[in-house]
Amino acid sequence: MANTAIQINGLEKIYKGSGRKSQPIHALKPLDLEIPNGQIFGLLGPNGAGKTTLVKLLLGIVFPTSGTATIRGRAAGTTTAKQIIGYLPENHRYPNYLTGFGVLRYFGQLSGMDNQTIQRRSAELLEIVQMSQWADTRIKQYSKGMMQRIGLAQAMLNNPEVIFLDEPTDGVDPVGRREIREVIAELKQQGKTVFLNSHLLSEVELICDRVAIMNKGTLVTMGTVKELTAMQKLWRIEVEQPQQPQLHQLLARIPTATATGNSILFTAETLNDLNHAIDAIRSAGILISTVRPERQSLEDLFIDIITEGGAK
Amino acid sequence: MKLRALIADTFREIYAKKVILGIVVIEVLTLVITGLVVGMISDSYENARVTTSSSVITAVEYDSTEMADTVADRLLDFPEDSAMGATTDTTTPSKILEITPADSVQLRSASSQESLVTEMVRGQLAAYSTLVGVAVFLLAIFATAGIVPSMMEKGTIDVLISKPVDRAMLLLGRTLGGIIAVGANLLLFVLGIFAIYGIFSGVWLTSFVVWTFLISFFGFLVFYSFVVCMNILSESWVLPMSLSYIHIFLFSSFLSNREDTLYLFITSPVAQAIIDGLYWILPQPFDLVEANRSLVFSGMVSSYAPFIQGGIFILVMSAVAVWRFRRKDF
Ligand SMILES: Nc1ncnc2c1ncn2[C@@H]1O[C@H](COP(=O)(O)OP(=O)(O)OP(=O)(O)O)[C@@H](O)[C@H]1O
Ligand SMILES: [Mg+2]
Repeated sequence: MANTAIQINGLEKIYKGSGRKSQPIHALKPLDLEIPNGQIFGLLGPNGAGKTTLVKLLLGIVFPTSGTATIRGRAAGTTTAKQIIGYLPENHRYPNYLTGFGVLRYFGQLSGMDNQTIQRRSAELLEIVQMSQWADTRIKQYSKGMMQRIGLAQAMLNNPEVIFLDEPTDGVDPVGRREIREVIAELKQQGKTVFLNSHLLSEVELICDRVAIMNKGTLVTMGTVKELTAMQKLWRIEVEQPQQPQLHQLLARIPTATATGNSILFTAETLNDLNHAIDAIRSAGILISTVRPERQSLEDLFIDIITEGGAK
Repeated sequence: MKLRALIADTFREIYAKKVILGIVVIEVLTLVITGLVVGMISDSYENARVTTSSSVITAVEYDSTEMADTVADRLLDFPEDSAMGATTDTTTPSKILEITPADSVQLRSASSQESLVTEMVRGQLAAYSTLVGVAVFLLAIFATAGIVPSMMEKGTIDVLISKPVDRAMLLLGRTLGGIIAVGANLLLFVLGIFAIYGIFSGVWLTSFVVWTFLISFFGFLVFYSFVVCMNILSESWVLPMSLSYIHIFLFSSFLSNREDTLYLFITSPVAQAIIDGLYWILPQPFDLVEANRSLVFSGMVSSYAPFIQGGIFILVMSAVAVWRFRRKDF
């Protein structure tokens, strides 16, 4: 328990449909999940998968239909839990008559921080998100990426132990994205837990310790990026002389194989299948130089899962 | 500290949206016009000071007939009317004396100690209190109807709720911001009128300030509690505002005068019972404004029921609002 940042037990959310004809929406099917301290946890999923719903449940912005959750042992949604939480919502908006610093001061006050601490933390954070020169500009004049940066600073203001970031790099340019990744990595260095919702798979791949993929309100798969991408049944078999006619005859008989250059990509359901294929290649007198599992990119996996889910 | 931050932010928003600015402009214009009119008729106060005590009845008579006027009439005609009425009446006291109704004779004994000019100012300010009451309902509801909905906007409420602040506190800070802004505005406006009359007539009628401020403010609270409750239930600001206006300008006067209007053609006892029920459930702005006028004019009020009803209404609406707001999904 002491090592758990977020503990979720059977958490479920059904939105009552608004309007007369609309159906209730089962946004989150009962979910059990445990996220350890000090990790960057990435939640992936297509639009409408229920990622934001899960985060909102953990913050008490919406109420669960059933189930419970705790954040570092504190019941989710309570004021005590919120004391150790930072949150950057998707489509966040701040009073646009405030300056960047004004936003931080306002939310600092709401977090119960004293003015001196607010001053000090704001200066630090504005530096970290590279917004110092904009601190006294009204946020009415901010660009989207600048809003995102000030939002990130706002989420880190009260030095939270657990930080929820819903699409933090949305609308941010590539340089800015890298900077935000660095900020997130730095949070991990400080021992914080980061819960990251994202569409950007490459980004998740780069920084997350653990990744979960959600579709239609269900957690489809979870693991480290390495585990997830290695789970695939694709093998690369490299051969010495790829131009041999025997090879072409052979490939014609194995429908799941394709040849490119001097390698063959082969999909095998089981290790037996793989070894049969190797036997066949060997018995044709072809020399094999390498056999190795092919890593699928997270994006391929993601699309696989989503389209499978869609086909069901 | 947290509450103060919320209230301060509400002030900033009200200021930034310039709604209050528009209202202040209207108020200043009203004060200027009042100043001009009262300045113009200030001679009548002088005349009144030197007339005999028999004229007291004249002034009282003038006011009691006005009491029968409708609210709208008073709003439209009051400055010229009172100016002309006061001057012409003082020249022909005997004629008016003949048609003095019983109630003004009653009033005379209570007010015979006061000078005629005090009576005049009393009457005019009593009429003015009606104007203030109606204007407060109209303008203050308009100014505050959007305060809670703007907090509940997607992206704004999410950040607010993620802070360690109870939802009830969020709602309280927000509404208090609006209430204080309206209250301060109202007080200044009422003091402005009080001062204009004081300067030109020499009569400083404190009861006008006290009653008009308290009752108009109370009436505003009654409607604002409804508006906030509906804000939360319907997530709209236009709907509760429109409903309030319809009630203030249409239903409430019929409901308050149901015996003289509706019951003339609705005779079924069941329907009458339903209408009676509606009267007691819904806010009673007409009665509040009427009580205000009567308190300024005579220092008396016929019934405390509108105040008790209003207080209960505020409590019920606030309880529903807080309860819903604390359980709402955003
Ligand atoms: N307040 C709400 N009322 C009703 N339904 C909602 C509400 N919020 C979300 N939903 C529904 O719940 C489902 C999940 O939405 P959610 O916002 O959690 O998705 P998401 O995974 O965050 O998507 P995105 O990637 O687009 O941000 C959707 O079908 C959505 O329509
Ligand atoms: Mg989302």
